Amino acid sequence: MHLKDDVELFEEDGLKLKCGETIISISSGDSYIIKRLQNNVLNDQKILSLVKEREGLNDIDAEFRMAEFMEKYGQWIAIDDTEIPV
Amino acid sequence: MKYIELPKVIYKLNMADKDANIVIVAATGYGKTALRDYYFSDSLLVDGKTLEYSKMPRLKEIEDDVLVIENASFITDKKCIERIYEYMRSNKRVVLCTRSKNTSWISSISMELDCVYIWEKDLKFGRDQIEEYMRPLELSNDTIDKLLEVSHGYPLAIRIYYQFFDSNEQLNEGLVAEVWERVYKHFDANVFEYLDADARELLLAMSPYESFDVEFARQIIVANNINNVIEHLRQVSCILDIQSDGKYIINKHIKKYLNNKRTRVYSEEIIRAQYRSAANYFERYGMIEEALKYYNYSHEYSQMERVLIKNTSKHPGNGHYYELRKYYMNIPDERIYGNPALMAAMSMINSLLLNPDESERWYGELVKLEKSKNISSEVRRTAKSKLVWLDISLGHRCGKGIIGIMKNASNLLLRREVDLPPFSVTSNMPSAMNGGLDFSEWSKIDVQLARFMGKPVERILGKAGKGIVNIALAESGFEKGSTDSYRTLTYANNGYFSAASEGTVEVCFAAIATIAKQHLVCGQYPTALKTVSEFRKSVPVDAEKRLFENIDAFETYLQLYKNSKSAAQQYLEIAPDGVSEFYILERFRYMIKLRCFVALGMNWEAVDFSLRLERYFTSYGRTIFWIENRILRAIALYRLGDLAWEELLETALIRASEYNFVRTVSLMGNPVLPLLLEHKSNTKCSLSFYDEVVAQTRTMARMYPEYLYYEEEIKIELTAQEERILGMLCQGLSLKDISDALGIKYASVKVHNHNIYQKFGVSSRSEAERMAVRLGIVHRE
Repeated sequence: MHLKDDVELFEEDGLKLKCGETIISISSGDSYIIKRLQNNVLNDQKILSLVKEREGLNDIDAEFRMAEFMEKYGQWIAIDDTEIPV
Repeated sequence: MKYIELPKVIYKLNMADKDANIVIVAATGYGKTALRDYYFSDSLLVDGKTLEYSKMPRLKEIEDDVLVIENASFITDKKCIERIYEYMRSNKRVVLCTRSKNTSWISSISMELDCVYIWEKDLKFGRDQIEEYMRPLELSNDTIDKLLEVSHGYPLAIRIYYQFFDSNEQLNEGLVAEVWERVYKHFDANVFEYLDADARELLLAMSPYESFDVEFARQIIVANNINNVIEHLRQVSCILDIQSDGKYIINKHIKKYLNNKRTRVYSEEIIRAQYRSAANYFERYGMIEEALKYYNYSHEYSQMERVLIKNTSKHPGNGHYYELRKYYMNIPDERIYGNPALMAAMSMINSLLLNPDESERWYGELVKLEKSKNISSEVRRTAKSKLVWLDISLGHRCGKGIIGIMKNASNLLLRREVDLPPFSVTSNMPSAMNGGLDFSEWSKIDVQLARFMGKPVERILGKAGKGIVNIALAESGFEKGSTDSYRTLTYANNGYFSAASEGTVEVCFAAIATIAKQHLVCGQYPTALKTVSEFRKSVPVDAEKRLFENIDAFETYLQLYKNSKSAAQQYLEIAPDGVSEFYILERFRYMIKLRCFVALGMNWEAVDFSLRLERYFTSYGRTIFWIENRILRAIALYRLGDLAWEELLETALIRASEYNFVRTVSLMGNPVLPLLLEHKSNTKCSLSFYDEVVAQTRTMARMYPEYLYYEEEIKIELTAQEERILGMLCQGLSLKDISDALGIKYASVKVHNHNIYQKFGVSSRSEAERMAVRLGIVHRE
C-alpha cells in the first residue's frame, strides 16, 4: 500500500495531505506512517511490524491501530488489491 | 321441524348410482340422523353399537332396498363385517353412518366398491341454510350473519339457537355461552359417556394444546397404552385427526368442550401440574415461547424468570426477544435491577422496538451496576460482558466508533475479563453490510479496512464472524459497482465457504444474496433464482424461522424483476404488518412489502408505508435502506403525479453519491429511469456519478423491463394527429414549427394542443410531456 498517486504530502503548520481541493491535517502520532507510505510501497505485514515496533503494541493492538488509521486516511491510500483475502 | 336440504349432499346423492353405497362421516350434532330420516326413512335400520351377528338378517331375507347402519365404526366383529360386505356387494344400497373416517374395514370396502362419501363439511350450514331454517322466526339479515359467525355452521348449535330465539331471546355474548353450554351437555351424553377412562384422561389432558404426539402426552399423563388409546379413538370417532407433521389434533368443537370440562373434572393443582409438565417439555425442545406460556399458566414465575435469563445468552436474531417481549416487559423493574442479563435484554429489546431512549436508560443502569461496589465479582463480570456486547450490538447507535469498541472488546477478551455472548451479525438478513449494524461508512474504505479489521472481527464475533469480511467486501464492491463480476463472486464464494465450514448459515445467506444479485445484474436471471432455491434446500430444517422468512422475501424480490404480480400479491398476504407495531429485525421484509405495493400500483399505500420506514432508517443510520426507501417513494409519487418525487430522488442520489452506491439506485431499473432522465438538469450530484447511475439503470431496464411495472388504469385516446403533435411537443418544437412541419394552420395546432391538455388534465407542456411518458405514448431516452 502507498499514498495514492494524486495525493500530495506537504508541511505547513504540521504535516498535511492534499488531493485536488481537499486538504487534511495529519495528527502527529500518525505522521511516521504517512511518511513511510509516501516513500515506500509497504505490504500489510511490514506496516504492522513498523507500528508494533514504534509503538510497542501487540499483534491485536497493531491491527486495530492500523484499522483506526485507515478509518482516518483510507481514502488517501492505494491498496494493491490484486490479492483476494480468504 | 323441516329438514334443510344441503346443496353438496343433494349433488352427491344425485350424481351417485341408484344402488351406490354411501358413507356419511361426521361428528355428533352434524345431522346424520336427520339426513337419514329425510332420505332413507323407509329403509331397514341397524345400530352398530348393539349389533350381534346372530341377529343380522341374511341378504335374501332383506326386503328393503336400502339398509342403514348407524354407528358403523363400533362394529368390530369380523363375521358382522363380512355380512355387511355381502350387503354392500349386492344390488342393495347400504348407508354407513360413522363418526370416524379411519375405521379400517370401512376404508377398505369403500375403496373396493367406490362408495359415495358425505363428509362433515358437506353437512355444515351455510348462510342460505341458516336463513331457511330460521325463516319462521323472521330474523334480520344482521342476526343471520352473526349467527353464521358464532355457530360456525354447526347444525346442532343452530338448532339450539332456534329454540332460544323462539323463546324471544336475543343474540348476545351471554346467549352464545349458553348455547355452547347446551352443546357441551349434548357432548357429555353422546361423546364423553361412550369413552373409556383412558381415552377420557388423554383427551382432557391434551385439550389445551394445539397438537400433541405420544411423547408429549406421556410427559403430561402417566399411561403406558397411549398408542392403543389413540388408535382406538381414531377407529371409532372423529375426535382425533392427524396432521402432516404426524401430530394429533382434537376436533375443534370437541376440543373446546373438553377444555371446558377439564376445568370442572380436575382440581386446580392437577391442572397446574400438567401445565408445568408441558412447560418442561417445551423448554427441553427449545420452544421457549410455549414454555413461558405454560410456566405462566402454572404460576411458576421463578421458572419463567430463569428461562428469560437463560434466553439472554442468545443473540437478538435467535433469542426471539420480539416474540417474548411481553414476558420481559412484564418483569417488575425491581426484579430486573441487579440482574445484568435482564438489564441488557431490556436495553436490547427497547432498541429493537424503536425505543432508543429507553434502551439507553437501561444501558445507563447497567453501567451503574457494573461500577457499584456492592456486587459480587460474578455479577460485575456479567455486567461488563453485557456492556461490551451492547456496545457492539445496539442498532440505534448506528455503529459509531465501532473500531474503538471492537479494540476494547478484543483487549478485554484477551485479558479474560469478559465472556461475550453470541452476536447476530446479519440478523438472518441477506446482507453483511446491512445486517446487525450498517457498514455503509466502512464501504468508503472497504478494501483498506478489511486488510486490518478482518482478523480482529472474526476473533471477536467468533463463529458468527467467519466469512463475514469477504462477504462484506463482495457486497460493498457490488453496491458501488466498482468491483467486477469475477471479483465479487470470488469474495462472496470465499466468504460462503468459510461460513459454511466453520461459521453460521445466516452468514451463508448474506453471501448467497450477493451472488444472486450479481447474477441478476449480469442478466442471468434463472441462475440468480436457482442460487437461492438451491441454498434454501441446504438450510437445516431447524434453522431460525426468520431466516426462512427472509429467504421467502428475497425470492419475492427476485420474482418482482419479472413482474410477478401473483408473487407480489402472495407476499402481501404474509408480509409483516409494520404499522400497528414496528420491529427492526423485519426491515428487509418491510422493504419487500414496499416494493410489492409499488408493483401492484398501490401507490398511496407505498407512500404511507415508506414514510413510516423512513423514521427508522433515519434515526438508526440505515443508509442503503434509506436510499432505496426514498427512491421507491419517489417512484410511487411520480406515478401519482405528485411533484414531490423530485426532491426525494435528489436527496437519495446525493446520499448514494456520497458512498458511490451506484447499484443501490440502478437496481431500481425501469421504474426509476424516467425519473432520472427527467431530473438530469436539476441534480446537484456529480455528473460522473449521475451518468454511471443512468448507464447502469438503462442496462437493468433493458434486461428487466417489467420490474415493478404497473399499467396505469388511465385510458386516454388521442387521435393520430394529436399523437403526432404530442411527439413533436415532447421534442421541444414550437407550435409554429409543428404547423410548418405538418403543413396545417397554426390555429389548428393550437386547437389540437388544447385538446391534448384537456384529455390529459394538464395545463403546461412539461406536465403533458410527463403524462405522455407515463402513459407510454412517448419514450424518452
